[in-house]
Amino acid sequence: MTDERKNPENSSPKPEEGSDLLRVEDLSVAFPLQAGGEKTVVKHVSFSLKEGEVLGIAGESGSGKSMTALAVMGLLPENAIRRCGSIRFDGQMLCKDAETKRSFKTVRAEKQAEERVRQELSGSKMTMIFQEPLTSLNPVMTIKKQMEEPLLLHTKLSAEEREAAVLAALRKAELKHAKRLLNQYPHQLSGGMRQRVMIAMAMINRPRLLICDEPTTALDAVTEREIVSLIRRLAKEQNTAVIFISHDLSVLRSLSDRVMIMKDGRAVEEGTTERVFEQPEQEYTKTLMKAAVKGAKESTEQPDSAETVLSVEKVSVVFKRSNGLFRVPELKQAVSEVSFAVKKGEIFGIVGESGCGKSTLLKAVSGLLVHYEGTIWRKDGNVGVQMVFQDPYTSLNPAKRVGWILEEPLRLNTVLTKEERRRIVGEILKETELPADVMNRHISELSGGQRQRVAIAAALITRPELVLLDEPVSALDVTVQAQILELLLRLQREHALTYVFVSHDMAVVRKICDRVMVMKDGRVVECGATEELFLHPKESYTKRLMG
Amino acid sequence: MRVVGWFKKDGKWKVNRMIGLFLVAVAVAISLTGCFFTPYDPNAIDAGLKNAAPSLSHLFGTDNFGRDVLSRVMKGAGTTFLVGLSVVTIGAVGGCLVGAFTGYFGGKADLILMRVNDAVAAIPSILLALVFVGVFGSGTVQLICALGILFIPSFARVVRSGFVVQKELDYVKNARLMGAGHLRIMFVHILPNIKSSLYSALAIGFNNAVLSEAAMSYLSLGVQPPDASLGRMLSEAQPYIFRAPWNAVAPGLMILISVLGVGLLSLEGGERHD
Repeated sequence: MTDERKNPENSSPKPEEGSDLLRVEDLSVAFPLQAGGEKTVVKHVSFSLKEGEVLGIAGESGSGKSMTALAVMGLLPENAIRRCGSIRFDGQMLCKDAETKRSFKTVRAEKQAEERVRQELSGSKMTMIFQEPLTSLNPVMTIKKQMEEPLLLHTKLSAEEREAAVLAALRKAELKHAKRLLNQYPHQLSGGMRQRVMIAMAMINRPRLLICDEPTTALDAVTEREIVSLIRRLAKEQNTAVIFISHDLSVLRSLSDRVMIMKDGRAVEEGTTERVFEQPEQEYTKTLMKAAVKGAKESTEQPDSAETVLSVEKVSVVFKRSNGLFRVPELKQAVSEVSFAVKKGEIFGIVGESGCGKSTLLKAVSGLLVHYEGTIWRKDGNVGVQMVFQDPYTSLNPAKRVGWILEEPLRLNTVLTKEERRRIVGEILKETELPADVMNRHISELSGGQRQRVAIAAALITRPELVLLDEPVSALDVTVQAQILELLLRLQREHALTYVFVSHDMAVVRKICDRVMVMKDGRVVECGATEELFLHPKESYTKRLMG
Repeated sequence: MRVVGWFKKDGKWKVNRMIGLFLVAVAVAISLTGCFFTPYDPNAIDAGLKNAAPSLSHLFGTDNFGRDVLSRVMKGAGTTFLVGLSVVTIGAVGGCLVGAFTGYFGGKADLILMRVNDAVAAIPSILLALVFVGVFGSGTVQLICALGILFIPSFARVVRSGFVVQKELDYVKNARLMGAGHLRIMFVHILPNIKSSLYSALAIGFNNAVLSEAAMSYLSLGVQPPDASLGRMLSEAQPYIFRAPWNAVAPGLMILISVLGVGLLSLEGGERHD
């Protein structure tokens, strides 16, 4: 064992065929509630994983998929209670069934033993990567320092050997300029690069199990595909078993051998990827598949004579980044010479990778950003344009109640009395299918879908003609996503609204937009009718983006 | 229902809040009573009863001049709380204004103002108070002004750091799109969101103010003798701490009750919006 660990380039020992690498049986995890009692978040989940196998776990937020993974890694939050169940890794018992009665002393001894085993395993045999690489990398350590950490803990390599191993791992993760990367800090890298560094770090000791908890959710479409294929390739090369957690079914379909669907803490369905996707047995799996946004927008009759609501001509935005009182500010061209026009009743999509300037452009259109060149003309002048943001938790004031939030635009823009404002708020709640009692609640007391409904209601309450939507469904679960898109489409039809819809999710864009503009590095790559663009993209970049 | 709801959340009694409110109520009741009624005249000297131990006629004994300690605590608590509250109010209002403007607008004005802030924070408080008292004369009002100005930087820092985080959030952009002005965004939209850190700052500030009052009065820069304040009483009790400990115990207990009460209340305030 020691010899093998000394040289990470050695391949791990081949186990006998058919034996399970990981076996989780009857796992239950609960959290104590403040009011007393407890909430069970994982209920009697059992699954097993063979050497080199990829298991996808799908489910909506709150379905217990992350808690299952954390339990396997032994990273459950302090206050979590493991009710029952056993976890066996490579024949080693990681934790025994907690139901059987034992004395306090044996329980403590077992805990310490588990701790020892886990320290030995994690970082070398079992590793995990998380959703947000910026927070899971240490911001004050250079890439080299962090990547050396698992080597220092689990191997006896010399300093030169360590550096060579780090470089090799970075190159394997398809990172260019690996040498230069060594002395850089996480904030100097892009999101995709950070996730690659995380993967390189997780794979550096040739682990036998890699757990990925929504590793691509924070990334755009192109980077997501690259990261997924990287994980697949590395896992195959090193014969690493992978547990891949995602709410994106298409990713799981392309990656995993077997899939487990979770709902409310239970494993609803499990089977080979092909079987689950082709012939789902459970009702919930079927609704989940159906909810996944796909297909094109239904019949769109665009009146040709429609008037222009928004026109943007040769707009450029240059950011000045000043690094202090006396330094010359750096210049960065975020948007360069973008022109487009949106007609009344149209849904206009803007797509591109993160950092392509689409959000900056939207800010300029909304009036939040005033330092731009070129002309932006809006039919309704300076007031009236409303925006729905990606994360309703930050776009709605968390200190205020929903009623107050919805009344605020009316307070600012109209001279209505309190009763009239209340009446309008009641109407908009009905229109956005929200119960009337949300008025007296804070945002934190609502579900993700309800929050976004409130955000939409707040945007529509002053009856604007033009609504800007900045990734309005990206932070939501698939089933909720479908409902919110439906709501947006219905409201658009009923009130003849005009949307500018920014997204990196191609399926969503295809479903909802009439016309689409593709952006890259602040420039327009291509612009045209949605279906035309999806079926016959002219530019190679568009093709790559569409997948 | 509302009153019960304040003490009970998710079926669990908020013990901290209950004890905190009780302690503050006791402290306020004692000092309020002291404004209208004290068992003896707090400043009346009884040469025959120097440093008398607690008895039925003098519940907390008498001090070195034979003055009734209980009466002086009742009277002095009012003075101390007045100083503490006023100082914290000046500090909090000033700090909120400075912190909100610098945090919200940022840029060079922020850099310069915060360096001024640092400069004020760097001057020893006693020194500044000495200058202040030297120019404007000594007394309770001067003490409040001097301490109030000294307390602005710490509040400004807390508020500024809250604003720097909050102003980047989308709800602020949303408010701008709705047509809200900068002042409204700062004080109606953002300020409630940093309530919890402000609560803790207020509690710590109040406690510091009470202690600073004691220090200033000790140097004869604050409340002028023979008037009582808790800090003054503590410093006067110092030479007799072993001979007549009751002189220190009574004002010390009073400070403890109020400081602990405010601290417990602010703890719960911080938890509320998490």
